[in-house]
Amino acid sequence: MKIATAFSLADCAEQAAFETSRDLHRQLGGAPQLLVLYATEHRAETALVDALSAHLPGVQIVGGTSCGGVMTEQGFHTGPDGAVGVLGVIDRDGAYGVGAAPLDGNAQAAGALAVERALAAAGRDFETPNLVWCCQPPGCEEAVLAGVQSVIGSHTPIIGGSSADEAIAGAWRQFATEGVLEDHVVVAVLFPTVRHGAAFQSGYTPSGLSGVVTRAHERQVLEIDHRPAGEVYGAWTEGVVGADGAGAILAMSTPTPLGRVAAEVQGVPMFVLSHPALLGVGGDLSLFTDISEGDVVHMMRGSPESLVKRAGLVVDDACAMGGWEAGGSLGGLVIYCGGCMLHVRDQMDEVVEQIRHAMPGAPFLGAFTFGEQGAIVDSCNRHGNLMVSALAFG
Amino acid sequence: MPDLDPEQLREALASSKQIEAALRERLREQDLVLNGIEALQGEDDPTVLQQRAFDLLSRSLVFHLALVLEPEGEDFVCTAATDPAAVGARWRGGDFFNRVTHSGRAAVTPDNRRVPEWRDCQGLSPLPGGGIYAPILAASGPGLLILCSHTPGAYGAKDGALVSRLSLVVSQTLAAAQRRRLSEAARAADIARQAAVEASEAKSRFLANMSHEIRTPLNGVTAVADLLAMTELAPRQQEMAQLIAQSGRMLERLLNDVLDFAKIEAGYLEIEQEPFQLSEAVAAMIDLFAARADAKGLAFRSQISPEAAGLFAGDSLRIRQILANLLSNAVKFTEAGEVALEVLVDDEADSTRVTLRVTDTGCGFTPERGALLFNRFEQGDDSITRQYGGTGLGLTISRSLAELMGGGVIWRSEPGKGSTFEAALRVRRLQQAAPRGEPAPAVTPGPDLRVLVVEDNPNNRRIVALVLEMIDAQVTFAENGQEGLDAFAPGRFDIILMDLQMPVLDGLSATRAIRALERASQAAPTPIIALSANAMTHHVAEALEAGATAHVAKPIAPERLIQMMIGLAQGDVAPQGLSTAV
Repeated sequence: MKIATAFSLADCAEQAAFETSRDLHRQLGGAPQLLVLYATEHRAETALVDALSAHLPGVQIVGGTSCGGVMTEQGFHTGPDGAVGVLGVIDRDGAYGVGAAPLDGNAQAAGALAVERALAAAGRDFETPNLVWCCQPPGCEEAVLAGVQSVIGSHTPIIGGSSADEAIAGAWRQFATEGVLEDHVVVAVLFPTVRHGAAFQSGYTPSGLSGVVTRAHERQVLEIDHRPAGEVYGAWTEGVVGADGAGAILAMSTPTPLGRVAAEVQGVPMFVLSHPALLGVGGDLSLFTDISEGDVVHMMRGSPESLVKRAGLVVDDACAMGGWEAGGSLGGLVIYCGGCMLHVRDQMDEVVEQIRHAMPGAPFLGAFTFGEQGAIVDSCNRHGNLMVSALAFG
Repeated sequence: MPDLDPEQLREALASSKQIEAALRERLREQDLVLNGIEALQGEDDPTVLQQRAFDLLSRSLVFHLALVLEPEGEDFVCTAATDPAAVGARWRGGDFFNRVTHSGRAAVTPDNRRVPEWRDCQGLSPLPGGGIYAPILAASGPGLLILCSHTPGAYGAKDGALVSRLSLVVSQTLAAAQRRRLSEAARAADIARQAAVEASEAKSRFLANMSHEIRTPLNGVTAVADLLAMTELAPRQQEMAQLIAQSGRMLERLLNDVLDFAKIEAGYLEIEQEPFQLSEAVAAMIDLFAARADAKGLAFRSQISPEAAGLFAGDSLRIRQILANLLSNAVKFTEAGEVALEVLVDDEADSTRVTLRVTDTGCGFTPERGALLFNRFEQGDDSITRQYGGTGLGLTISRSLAELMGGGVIWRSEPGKGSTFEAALRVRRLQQAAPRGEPAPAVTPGPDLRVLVVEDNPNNRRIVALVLEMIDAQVTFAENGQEGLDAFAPGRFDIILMDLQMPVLDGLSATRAIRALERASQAAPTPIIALSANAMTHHVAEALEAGATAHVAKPIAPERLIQMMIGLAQGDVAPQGLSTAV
């Protein structure tokens, strides 16, 4: 397996496609079989995918829009005209396939259909892949995961991120071999010939404050411990959230998201986070994840320092889970929460440095998403917010 | 500890616990593989090995059916399974099976029913759940280990990787089973070989017995015919008696061929290393076959190397047998022209190479027929058997004899242009005086010999009596070994003729008992001539070891027997080791 990355800050899609495909060609010695593509909404143009497909014949494309820029081993890439980042894979003895399906109001069915199409594209239409990489719009991730798992079972790590835009304005898109898609699930199935490791963590720690969700509807928490959720959450944050009344609280809630225990590893709870986005006038909290009555929510705490170090640590974990030491990596992918990126934007060079340190000399591509998907140690696949999901090959 | 905040500490703890869990899982996998290998060691029963392999797999992950598939042509056949009913099920090998068997990597499927190979499976239906298909190396080539679950999507790639590692153990299991099968095959081959050896020995015993049974009456025919010819007969009666004797001797030659062949096959034929005159041995054959050639109107030429003169150590009887066979064939298959014999002698460092080259102007033969000449019972073609008779063993025996003497037989021939046969053999040149001669026997009146004849067959007793009448011997008869032993007393007889196969007490036992009596009374040993139709070498050796002074094979040539008796009675023949077919 050979992996290479490239990026472009060009102000037009064709130029960005030209630059990135040229760099990949140079590094890989040929067109990759699989191309993971992340770009800011500026470059979410059909011309980008068309040009990449033209420059890299036979390539299969998976990915989506990224918030604020992309990162590779060469740094954090952002510019006034946006950024494009690609990771190419050549693995002739492996198999790779990409499939896409429209949500059409049924994200689970779309997830199932997309993975079926991806398996067919890989020539392995009745097999279980080693890995699944996914991209979908924010808001339906749990259903997408369920749909994919309905086809291949729950023992395959599903890793990815929800496409993001610059202003939470619905400008997010998905990239697939057939072009730039809206409201689609795009899935890649991977049958690599090398080892892989995956890790999925937040960098937050429970504050000790917790309650039981007593009223909820889809992604809205109405009550915690039978009290208005906004009131409880405001109290937990000592008035930081709610002081300005109802409205967007995304930025101010980033250091104090809600967490739920997804699994326990030898007595240590593993949390998956939910990012409160809106405080409703009725005291309800809108999250970027589903929530259910009876869920126990913990208020988590995180600091900018931990957000900066977190990506590197998660990549470290991914390598360790794969069974090799730092330095043995062939390359990898990092999904970093867009909200966290915005919180530590001026320290992104340090974030990149931390990943470089964890994966020395190896190419990697990072994207900033509005929802992250990954697998905890027992391969149980989860969707969360404010998380880092890493996949490494070694 | 560095100034870590609680978030970092918690994150580090979570990481370490996850990594520890992953390491524990890897360790468990290692243990499974190592335990699997350990469980196989020292065990070679395929059934036990397969059960252990399945037990090992069931400790690794949950499955409802495990199958071992081995290739058979383009198909895969189940040779072992956790459900015995699945054994024998057959799949047509398609892209999927062939890819997995040759990729070295396991494949995982969420639903076995979607695997194309299962659609045409004979003898088994797929479980409606997940499956793992791992490559194994079976005895007949790359095969598959399949684990099936009732639960859809039951397995992931990690499970596949684990089974891949364990499939190594399964491959070793199959290899062990193969070793067992090979071992059993080797054992069966050994048993078959032993049976073949025993059958061969039985055949040899049969031939020896048959030879004995034939020689006994043949002895009667030829000896009586010889004796009859020595009496005063009318010319026509004389001719008839000679015909009987000649026919008997012809039958004897055929019998000797068969017997020699049996000896060669059984590995009993031994080459003597006795002093002899090569030139005399050759001259006797020249005389004989020159006469035969002349009788047929053929010229006979011979050229004997001057180096042939002198004394050699070797088996003159067998050398004459080879030469007789080659000359006999030459005369037999030549209708006009000549038969030529050339004897070449080359002294080398540690032995002398003797070449007997017989050339004829006969019908010759093609290389294809030539290739068959040394096959047992082959005579070139069936018409030869019809026209010339014979056993077809002569050349085979000659070649074997020449090989036993360090040489071989080669030939050159073309149809219509005659043939050349060349036998090469090795003898050892001796520097001492002339050997014990083998002069043509002449019946001379013997002394008044006292002879004990121990013989159970009345006809043979009568024949021996007729022979001994010729020298006016005093004959005492005993009908078995015990009677002979009872009649014996040291110094009472000048010579004893002892048959070997007799009831009550056989000749070998009686001979040993006589020798023991002599030793006990410190008496001089009485010469004992073992008379037996058991003419195979090891029988002769047995007789001599038992204490016989000489061995004589039946049928008896009266003149030779008398000559031997006189010689032994006069004490001019060294005891032991003397054997002859008279």
